[in-house]
Amino acid sequence: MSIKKWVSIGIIYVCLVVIAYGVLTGKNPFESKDIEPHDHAAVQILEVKQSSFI
Amino acid sequence: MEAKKEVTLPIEGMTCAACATRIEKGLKRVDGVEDANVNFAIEKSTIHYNPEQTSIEAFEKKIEQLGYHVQHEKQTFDVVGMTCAACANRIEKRLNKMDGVSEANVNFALENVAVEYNENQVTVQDMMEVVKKLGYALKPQVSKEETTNRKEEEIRHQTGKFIFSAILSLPLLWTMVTHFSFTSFIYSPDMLMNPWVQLALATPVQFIAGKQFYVGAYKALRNKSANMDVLVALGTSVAYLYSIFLGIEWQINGAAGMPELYFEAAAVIITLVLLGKLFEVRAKGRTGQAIKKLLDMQAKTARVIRDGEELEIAIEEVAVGDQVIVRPGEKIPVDGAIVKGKSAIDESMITGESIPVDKNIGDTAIGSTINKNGTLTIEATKIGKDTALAQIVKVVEEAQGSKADIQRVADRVSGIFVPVVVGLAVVTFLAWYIFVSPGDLRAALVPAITVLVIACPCALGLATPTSVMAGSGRAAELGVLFKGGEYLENTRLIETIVLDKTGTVTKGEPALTDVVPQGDMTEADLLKMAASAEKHSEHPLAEAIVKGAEAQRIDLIETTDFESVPGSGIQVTWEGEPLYIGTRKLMKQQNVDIRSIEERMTELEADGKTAMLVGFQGKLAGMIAVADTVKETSKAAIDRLHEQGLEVILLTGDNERTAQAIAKEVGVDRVIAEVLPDQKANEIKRLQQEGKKVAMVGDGINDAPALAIADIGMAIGTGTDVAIEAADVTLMRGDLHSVADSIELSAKTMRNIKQNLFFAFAYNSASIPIAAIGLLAPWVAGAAMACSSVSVVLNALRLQRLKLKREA
Repeated sequence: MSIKKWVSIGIIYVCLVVIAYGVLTGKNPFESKDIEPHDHAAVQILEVKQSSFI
Repeated sequence: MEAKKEVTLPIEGMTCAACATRIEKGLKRVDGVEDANVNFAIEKSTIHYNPEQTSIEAFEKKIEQLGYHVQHEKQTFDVVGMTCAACANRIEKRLNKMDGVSEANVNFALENVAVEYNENQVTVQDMMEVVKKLGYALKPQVSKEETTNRKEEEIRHQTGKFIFSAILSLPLLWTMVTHFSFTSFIYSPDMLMNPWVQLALATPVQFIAGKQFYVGAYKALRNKSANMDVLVALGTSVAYLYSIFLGIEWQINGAAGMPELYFEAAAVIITLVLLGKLFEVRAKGRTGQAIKKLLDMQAKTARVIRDGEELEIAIEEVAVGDQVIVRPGEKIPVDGAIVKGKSAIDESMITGESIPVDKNIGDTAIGSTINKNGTLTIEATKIGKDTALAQIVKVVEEAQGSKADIQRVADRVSGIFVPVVVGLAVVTFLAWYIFVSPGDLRAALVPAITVLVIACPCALGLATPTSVMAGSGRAAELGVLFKGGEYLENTRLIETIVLDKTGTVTKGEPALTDVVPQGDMTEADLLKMAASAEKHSEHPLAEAIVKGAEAQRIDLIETTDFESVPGSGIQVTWEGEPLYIGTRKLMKQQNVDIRSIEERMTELEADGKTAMLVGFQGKLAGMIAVADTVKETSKAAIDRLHEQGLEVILLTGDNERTAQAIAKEVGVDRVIAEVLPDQKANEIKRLQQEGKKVAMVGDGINDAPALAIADIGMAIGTGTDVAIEAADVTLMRGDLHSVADSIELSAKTMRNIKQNLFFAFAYNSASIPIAAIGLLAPWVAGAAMACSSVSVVLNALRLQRLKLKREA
């Protein structure tokens, strides 16, 4: 299979996934809510502070 | 009893060094196989076997059983002379009966035949010969470009797969990158946090782009062994399946919050490993470029004279004895002797020597060299696989396919590496699950997956063969042919170099050295007289005098009544009077008084020169001396050998005084003189008994036993006159600098191999503990693994641009 075909299939597939998400969930696929940050370091510091070690 | 045979089979489907080891082991188990050697880098297997006990078909079957495939050459020929379908049948049957032909299909309508064959067992010429005997003619349709196309197709396929994989992995990587506190400002759509979206993106990567790892792993496991595919398939599958499990759990729990998934780890690992593979395929192709360059040098057609007509024919159709016309700027198609014309020939592609060599009638012309300025007619003496180029290609291919001792160690290590790594991954998992984070499956799985991925031994399998290929290829370009990886490895260990004198340190042909006139004669007069007289003689000493006069641009005149006086010299008539050139005895017979020159003559003779007296009109006209002269480059080359810390010994059958004179001129450390040719080997043995590693350098013809007994035998010569088969190392340039070059090449290649092994081992060994204690993310392990393969291959490729001290 040519490189062009691989690239086209890849892009089309990603587009289909995006469209399918929008259709199935009814949500805007590009929406970015202010979700809880996954800051492991901050969480760990918090845990250590709350623990009985301090 | 039939003698032991050797065959080289190209193999498809190997993914790492462990595959090579498995095939090697499998082949060694076949009855009748004495030794089998599989080179992962060039994808070839060399088998030594007893043809009475086994056959190539058995090897092919075994290789197929192990899950790999023996690659065959495919060639389509036009068939001339078929009149009906029966002819087609006859040709097809006969070709199919030939050893090495796996399939031949004749198409009567198209008048062609497609043959699939093993080029190591049967050649195009063999097939043409067989069909010719049946009364037909085969003409090759295309040249050997299919292999290149196949490689290009593989590169295209790998590139496409990598890009496809990268397109799908990038969104997953995006979610991971925005995961950290310092990157949380980066926009990331919610959609990408959804486990099912991640699953949708990761699945094609896992099973379409990553299919090759599952196939490779299945083949390996079916044969009860393990390779890098097992590690990649196992590591990524665990990450993928565990993420599905977490996704289901998240869904069951009401799809609240964000589960910590590992789809991105699996996809990114596969993408990076594919990138590593892509670099590997491309670079592997480049390490073998020396052979391609050599093959490209060959002319495709030749202009021959047949029945008085000039015809342009394919190179394969040239026969020994054909007269080939080569115009200025054209490549010389075959090895042969010049029968008409003179020209300068650029032999740099064969000897590495950049200055064109003047050639005249009677001189040899080497195929694939370039005719610079005159039209030549050459009588073909060697064609096909007998040409100098074909032999060079064979030696380089064998060297590239052979294993250095250091590689055997690396192979053994990589053979046990995979099971050990799987064991380590299990231990890591258990240690985390039981002791570090009891009951936490997630915490235990991640380091175990990372250990699996980081420890892939693919760089280990590439470390030595890529360097050997690049090193021996570069050496061939510089006119140094190593017969095997072990010689490339061991030449650097040489402590003593023994040089044969004639043809090695010296030119091996007499040249004019002294002209001593007597009485009123001048040097030019005497030389004119002697050279004009000797012009009719074919004796090598006479040729030296004539060449000496020509070099001084002295015009020779015609003499008459040439007569050879056996054992004493010659006699001619010069200006109506007899002229004698020869020994003391000849002068005595002619009553010529030689007392005035006797002392000088003795001196010249003591220096190893041959002095000839010239008598004219009953008086001594003078004396001419010729001798074998030292090559212009010998002294500088021996100085270089000294700089490399080597002891240089001159070995010769000449008398002590001549040998000492040469030794003083070139600066060798020791002289072993008056040694008969058959005793040279004993002298080498004696030096070895002193505990030295000895290399013998000779022309490979009369000193073959000494070359064979030395730790490294080096044959020196230019183009076709060197016996390639006689030595471990062949020096095509004909000067002693090549000896120093070979040692430098050996040392630099070995240094490169060691650097490569360090890269391969360092990545694996240093990273395993880091991965085991959980300090490395799985995708970083994938990147490190790709880096390790790429850095090894790129480091080996540096050898292709290697500059020697002489060039610098």
